[in-house]
Amino acid sequence: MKTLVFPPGLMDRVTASIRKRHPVKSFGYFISDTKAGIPTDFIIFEGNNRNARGWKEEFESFGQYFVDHSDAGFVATPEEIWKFKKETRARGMFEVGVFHSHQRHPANFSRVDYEMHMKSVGKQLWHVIFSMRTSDYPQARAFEIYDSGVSEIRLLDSEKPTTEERLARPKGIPLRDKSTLLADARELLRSDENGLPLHVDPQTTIAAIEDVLSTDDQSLIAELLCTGIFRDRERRYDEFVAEDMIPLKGGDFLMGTDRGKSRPYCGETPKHHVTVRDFSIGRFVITDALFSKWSLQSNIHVKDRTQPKVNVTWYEAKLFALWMGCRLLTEAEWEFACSRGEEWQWCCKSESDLVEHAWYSENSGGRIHPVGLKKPNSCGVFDMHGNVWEWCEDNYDDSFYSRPAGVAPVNKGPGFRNKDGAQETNRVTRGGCMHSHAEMCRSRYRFHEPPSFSARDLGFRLCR
Amino acid sequence: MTTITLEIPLQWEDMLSAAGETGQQIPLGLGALDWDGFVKELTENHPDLAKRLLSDSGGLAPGIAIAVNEEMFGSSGVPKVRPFEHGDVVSVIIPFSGG
Repeated sequence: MKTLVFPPGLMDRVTASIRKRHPVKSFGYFISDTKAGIPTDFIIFEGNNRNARGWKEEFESFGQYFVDHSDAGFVATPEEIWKFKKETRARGMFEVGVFHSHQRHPANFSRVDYEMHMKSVGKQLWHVIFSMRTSDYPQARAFEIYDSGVSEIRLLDSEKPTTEERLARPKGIPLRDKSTLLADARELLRSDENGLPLHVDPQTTIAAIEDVLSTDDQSLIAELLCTGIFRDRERRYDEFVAEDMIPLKGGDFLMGTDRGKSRPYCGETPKHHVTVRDFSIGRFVITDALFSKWSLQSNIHVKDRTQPKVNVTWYEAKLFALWMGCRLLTEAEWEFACSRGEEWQWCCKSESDLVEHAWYSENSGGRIHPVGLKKPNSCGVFDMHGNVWEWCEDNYDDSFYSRPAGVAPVNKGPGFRNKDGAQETNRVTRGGCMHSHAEMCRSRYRFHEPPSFSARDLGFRLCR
Repeated sequence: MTTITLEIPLQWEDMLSAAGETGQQIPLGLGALDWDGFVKELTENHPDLAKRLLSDSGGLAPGIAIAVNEEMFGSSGVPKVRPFEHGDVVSVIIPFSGG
């Protein structure tokens, strides 16, 4: 993966400007002292012709989302573009990249972005998208655009450590023996008399659990899984979860997308053979009602017991899953359960049928809906497309599909990191949400977020 | 013969190269100084460019604007406000847009 390095302070400045303008959409150019050099400054345009005659109709041709949201999409005014070009030239500077913000979507690249970039900017310039859907935790992703498609490039702020880096264990600490790992994990997994956790930081708890799991010592792992908060996990599974789990027979399937069909999408190629083992999958994503049994959310006010649980980090999702005697789906399991190995882009043959199965940009009204109101897919699983994104177990790596998959693949190895040296990588998210265009709800569409990120359209589903 | 230079956006380079053009600046030998002459020249000698620049009715395509030398004209003002002159540099402005 290529890397785009920002000089000290520039990323902070542009992010601060975008946050200040939010919820107004921001878009503009990055400029440099040298042609195709590293960015040294940026400009944000003020005018937006998105709703001008001609443009409004063009945007609305992309779907209901652009009818429902008149602030979706942007068009710079010719006056500002001309002024910008003249001033840039006068300063002896060069355009090197463009950017725009998403108010509701993740920082992903869509078909609209691709087509308009090619038409108005051209493939010489890279494109950074800032997602403001969780405005306290903006996300930025950078993309290179080609005739043949889009690829993500790593975006590095040359000075600022990532959240993961700040929280990472300092280097130089000696390796701990197995019994110490187990003792550390046990301490963090201590529970009260109701089996609820006393320790309230899922991130450190998960790190301790991962340390034990990484030993591959089955007796140690078995001991861990009957410790503290995990002690009653089988009872909880039987009581709260089991009746909504669907057993799926494993098998071989083709995962990913042919190169020729993946133009505006990242990381979906090559299409490759994958084998998954038998597993059970939650009929629904986790709801507020089910999650409220977890002590960390004991004060939650449950308005609708069937509303999907959102605003949950990957750490919280994973710990909750383990507490319930389950785990998160691997990316391969998610795609297998969603596509059932069919060539179709969704669980149905065409986009016109998707409205029967999913809450997405065309029918959601911009809000999350209770689980289970649409038709399930062929194996009885609801809402795999749209409504809320779903965390998966895997680290995200756009080249993971190029490595030999083997049986039951899960990427716990190298993956996308916001900065070299960061200890942890982004985790895969799947399925799209209520705002997502049909393309983002596709069975094979991949995205990713930092594990400490949460959003009001991001939930999870159990697996076992 | 009047010659103006049409300064095209960088991103069109590939398309024009494929069409047999080179570089970023295309001299246009205009037989007339008015907009109709400009449209005729483009349509006959640079059809790919005309397709991007012009609407079916012979005006500028939606969203496209033109600056003559350092002065920008609205999409409908170019031929009316100021006719082309020998040596003009006409810059094509394509607004940055996205989703």
